[in-house]
Amino acid sequence: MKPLFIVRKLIVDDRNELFDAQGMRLVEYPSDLSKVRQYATEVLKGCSPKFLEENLLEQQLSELIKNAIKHGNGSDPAKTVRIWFDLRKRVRFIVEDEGAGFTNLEIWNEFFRKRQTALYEQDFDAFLELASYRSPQSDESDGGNSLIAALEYWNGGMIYNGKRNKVGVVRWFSA
Amino acid sequence: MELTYRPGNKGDQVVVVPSGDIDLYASVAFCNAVIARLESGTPKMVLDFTAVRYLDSSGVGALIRLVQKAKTLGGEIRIAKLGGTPRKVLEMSNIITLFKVSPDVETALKTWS
Repeated sequence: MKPLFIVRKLIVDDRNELFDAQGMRLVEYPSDLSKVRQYATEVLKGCSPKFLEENLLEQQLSELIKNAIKHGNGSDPAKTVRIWFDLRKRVRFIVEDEGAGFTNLEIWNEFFRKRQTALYEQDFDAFLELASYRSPQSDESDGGNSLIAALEYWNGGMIYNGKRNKVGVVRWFSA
Repeated sequence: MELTYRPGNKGDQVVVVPSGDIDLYASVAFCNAVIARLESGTPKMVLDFTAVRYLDSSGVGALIRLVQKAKTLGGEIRIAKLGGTPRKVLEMSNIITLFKVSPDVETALKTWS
């Protein structure tokens, strides 16, 4: 018998508790794509090595910042990215850009459902075709898979606000 | 990001050793250089990830393009010595299913028919 087939998806929920920034620290950065990893490193300064998981947390936070700068703000240096963070008992972030929002969210969810269906059915030719999400705005440096890994990594939730220009995420760690 | 190459066991095989981070700043150059090598008569390629400590979604996208290109050329991409964050990122994105992953380069080459 095949295992149960469950596909995660991106969720929009303005009232979700992941957007409660009480007690979180806030930093703000200009939309400089060349500094994505630098910003992530700055935010994570002093973070517990247990949470860092070598550089996996930096990698995942960098993806959120890159998406906000590049896809949200269109790399416009006049626009900023705001990052709320809490690195105490678990890692929690809210990343907000000044863009129009992730308007293709439903299209992405449908892409992901097809992709995971191909994987479940072990149709690797179809899976290879669907391995990367491409939109009319994608360029050759867009991997088209950051949200796929993010849905897996942020095990406590990954939620967009109603305008879809702000994402809240949390990752829990076992004791 | 630096790339070094060495021949495999047969004329259509090559071992590529990237060194450094395959991230949004390096992934396009990495992809273009490796595709050129695939197209130069060596479509069977082992990527030795010994010295790769960081892989992001741009790097994963580059690897997907390499698999697609190798397939059109009748070849294959294999990865050896995959660990740490690069392995976790490939697992979380399910892209690891596109590769045969070997503990070392010799095993990857030896099992090619």
